[in-house]
Amino acid sequence: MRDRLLWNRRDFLQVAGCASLSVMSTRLPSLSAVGKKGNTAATPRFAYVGYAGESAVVTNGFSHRIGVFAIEGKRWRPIGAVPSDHPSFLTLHPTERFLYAINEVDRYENLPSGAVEAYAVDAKNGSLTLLNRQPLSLSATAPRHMTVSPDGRALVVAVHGGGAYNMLPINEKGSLGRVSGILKETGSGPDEEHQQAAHPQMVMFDRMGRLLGADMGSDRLSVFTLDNGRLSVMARSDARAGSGPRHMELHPSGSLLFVANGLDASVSCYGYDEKNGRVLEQLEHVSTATNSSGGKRAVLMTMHPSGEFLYTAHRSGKDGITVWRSNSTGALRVAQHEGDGLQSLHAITMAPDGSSLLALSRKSGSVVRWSVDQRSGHLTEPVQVAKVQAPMSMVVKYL
Amino acid sequence: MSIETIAKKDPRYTTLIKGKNARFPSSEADAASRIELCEDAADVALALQRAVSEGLRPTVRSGGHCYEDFVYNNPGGVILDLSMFADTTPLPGGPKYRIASGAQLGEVYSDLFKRYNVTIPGGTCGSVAAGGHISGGGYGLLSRLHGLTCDWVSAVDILTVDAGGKVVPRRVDHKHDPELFRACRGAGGGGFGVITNFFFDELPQVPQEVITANISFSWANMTEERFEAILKTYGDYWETRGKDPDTWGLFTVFGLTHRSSGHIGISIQFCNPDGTCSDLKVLNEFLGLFEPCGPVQTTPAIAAVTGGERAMHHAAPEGCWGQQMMSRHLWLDANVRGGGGGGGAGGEQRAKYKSCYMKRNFSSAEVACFYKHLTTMVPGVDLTRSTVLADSFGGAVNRKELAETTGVPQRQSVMKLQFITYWNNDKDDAAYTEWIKEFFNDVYSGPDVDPKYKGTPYWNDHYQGCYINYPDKDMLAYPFWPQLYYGDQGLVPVLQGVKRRYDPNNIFHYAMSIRA
Repeated sequence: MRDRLLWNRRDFLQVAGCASLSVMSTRLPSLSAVGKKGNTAATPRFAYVGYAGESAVVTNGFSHRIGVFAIEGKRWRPIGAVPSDHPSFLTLHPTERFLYAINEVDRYENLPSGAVEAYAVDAKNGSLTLLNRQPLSLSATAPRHMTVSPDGRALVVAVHGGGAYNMLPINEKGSLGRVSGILKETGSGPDEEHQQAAHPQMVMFDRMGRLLGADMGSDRLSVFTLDNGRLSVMARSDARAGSGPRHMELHPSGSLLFVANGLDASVSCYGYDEKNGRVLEQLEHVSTATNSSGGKRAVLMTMHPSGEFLYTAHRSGKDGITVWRSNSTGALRVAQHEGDGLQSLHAITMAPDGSSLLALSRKSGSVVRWSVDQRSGHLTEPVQVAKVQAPMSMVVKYL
Repeated sequence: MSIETIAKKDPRYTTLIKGKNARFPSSEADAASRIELCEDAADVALALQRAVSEGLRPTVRSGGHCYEDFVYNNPGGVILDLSMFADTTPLPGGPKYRIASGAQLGEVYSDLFKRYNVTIPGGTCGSVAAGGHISGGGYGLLSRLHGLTCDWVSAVDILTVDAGGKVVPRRVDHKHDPELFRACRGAGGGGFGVITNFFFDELPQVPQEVITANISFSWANMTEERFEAILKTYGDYWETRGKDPDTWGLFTVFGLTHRSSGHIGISIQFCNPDGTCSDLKVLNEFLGLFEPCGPVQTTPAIAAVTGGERAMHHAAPEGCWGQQMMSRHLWLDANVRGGGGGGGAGGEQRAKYKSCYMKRNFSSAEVACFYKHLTTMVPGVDLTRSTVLADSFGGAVNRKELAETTGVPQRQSVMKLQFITYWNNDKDDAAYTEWIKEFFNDVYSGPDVDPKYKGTPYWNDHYQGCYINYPDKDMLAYPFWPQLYYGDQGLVPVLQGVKRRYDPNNIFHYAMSIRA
């Protein structure tokens, strides 16, 4: 298992020029890490966006696509696309040689399940070639999120609809083996519409190789270990009732867990015991509601690699992005508000070096990039880098 | 109370990880990780809670006769085995009759007869157990006279799992959780919870005597015209005369076995509605219809391929009617013999099944299809054990109000078909499953099928869909498959509501369970 390091800003700047380092950071859900040999700072090369197709005509059974873009400065040039059914989440293998896509569907080959796809990524031109597709376990419908293990040998999927986690082995050549581990979750919460049953939303690895899972249906944060192709529960902890945890970020110190909530427009911060793999008590809870929003809103969130700034937005909201400053105790203060009027954000992600932030706007069909001031965390110079019809997911390739 | 857990390293695992259809589990990777042998309802609750708390999928079996992979393709999951929970004694202070899910039909008939002189109008396979049989309908030789077994169920003990993941034992009936109760009467099949006990306030009396008989026809001199005449004679009776109550004690199974077997044959059980055999007019009338069709003498070998074995076990023949052997039996003797009769599967056999409910006689188009596929020769494929069993149906089953109070909406059919093909070698899987798929598709792509539902016996003037206890995964190719099995008159939304309410986490699922 390769060493995993989480950088704080200082460390990164110190070693950025070092030729022999390669870093894998899988703490960022839809971006892989940086560290091309010989670069002073990693330059993004290609971007992949899952989106709904241009026409209503279905080809190869799919009207959805994964678009491939060449990143040229602040512009993304479309260079191709592959058909893919509801690719609502994309992630890259730590080596960046393979790309994985969720098929967020309820039926696959006539059985009730979702599916995942594996693609080979061409090192030179970034193009995608489908390696294979695997159905998830029976009743594992509408998968939502996934992550590759630090050693690159397994893929874990958070299955929202079917209420489970699935684990699949990754072969030498990057293709996926059939599901090797199934963990079915139960649980509920006070929200009658969204919390009748368990609905895992997100999975991510901590620095010790343990898997964290956030469950919006049961208001639960769980820590799992991986043994022999299967997941076992290590610890369970209850999040705030009715909050519906949907997205997590681990502070680089390993001692704070930020959770963006899916049901009540808020962000919570919990202590995290990295040594024993346990989520501790809640340290902070803030409402992300602004004057024009609030109530029951799902929160999008991403974190600056230094752990000093958090960025939140409301899914489908028009109230832009809030920049928060956090300190080592997890306390959060608003630092800036940016981008009012931006329509219907679907995802936001941060570059691994913290220099830029990307946002997907579904309604306006665009990908917007901001520069990030490394001292204040403020967002500046928004640029529309790409126009894509109804984008739903994205991932950037650096290597 | 003691649960025996059988995991991979146990010497019993290889035998118990599968049921009666050798096709499943489809591979080692599809097999469950353990089997929990439960001896009573408390065991089942405990084993179920363990499985759920561990995040493992539970599937349930009692007799092990499931036609599809619903139990045995359960990768890494847990099989709850209720086969040893077989009580037929009532619970203290409880309803008059009780059948635990693990009780096999052979034992049930025997026990209920001895203790009470009653029976359930269930099936003919002695080793089929109550759990799947009754929750999915449960019909047999007495169904025209007494309806379906699920029609008599007055309460059910069922274990469900609540939203929080906790096992909740329930006693459901028409007053307590009535919609879940309704689902357990015909649409249950392990899709909402684990049924541990069936209760009955009343059960029909056993016939005093029955007469079994057989009519066989040889394929040797069969022509398509004669085949059509025979089938239409049969179907016409059930569409017309068979609706009269004085015929409801007559039940027949027409084994339309492939030509390579040599014969097709009708096996018959008869009694008067009062349970005696004092008046044989109805039986003789039926037998007489076929004399012009040139039947041959039924021998044990013929009966074996056409499903008429029951008719052949007689001490001394009562007499001969034309060339046909007839004998008079005490009912229990005729019906419980060595278990496993009729169903065929013995654990090393592989099988595929399909079904159809018919409201009318066979049409010429259908007959032509039957003839074609039952006489086709496929090189290297032995079809001697491939057949379509055309059962008589209707009678007491067709009480309209039962469509509203049970999970079985098919209450206007006069015949019920079961397409079956058996084989032994896994390398032949594709050949046999293709043969039966093509056959079925051909029959139900004719002029009597609405083009929208081509390939299936979807509900219309001729058909009432398919029977869930003869499940067929091929039907999953059609988005209207739930309506095929449960109709389009409102039962499906009711079942979906039951699913959402009683199994919000979808713990109990298989390829063809109700999807909320």
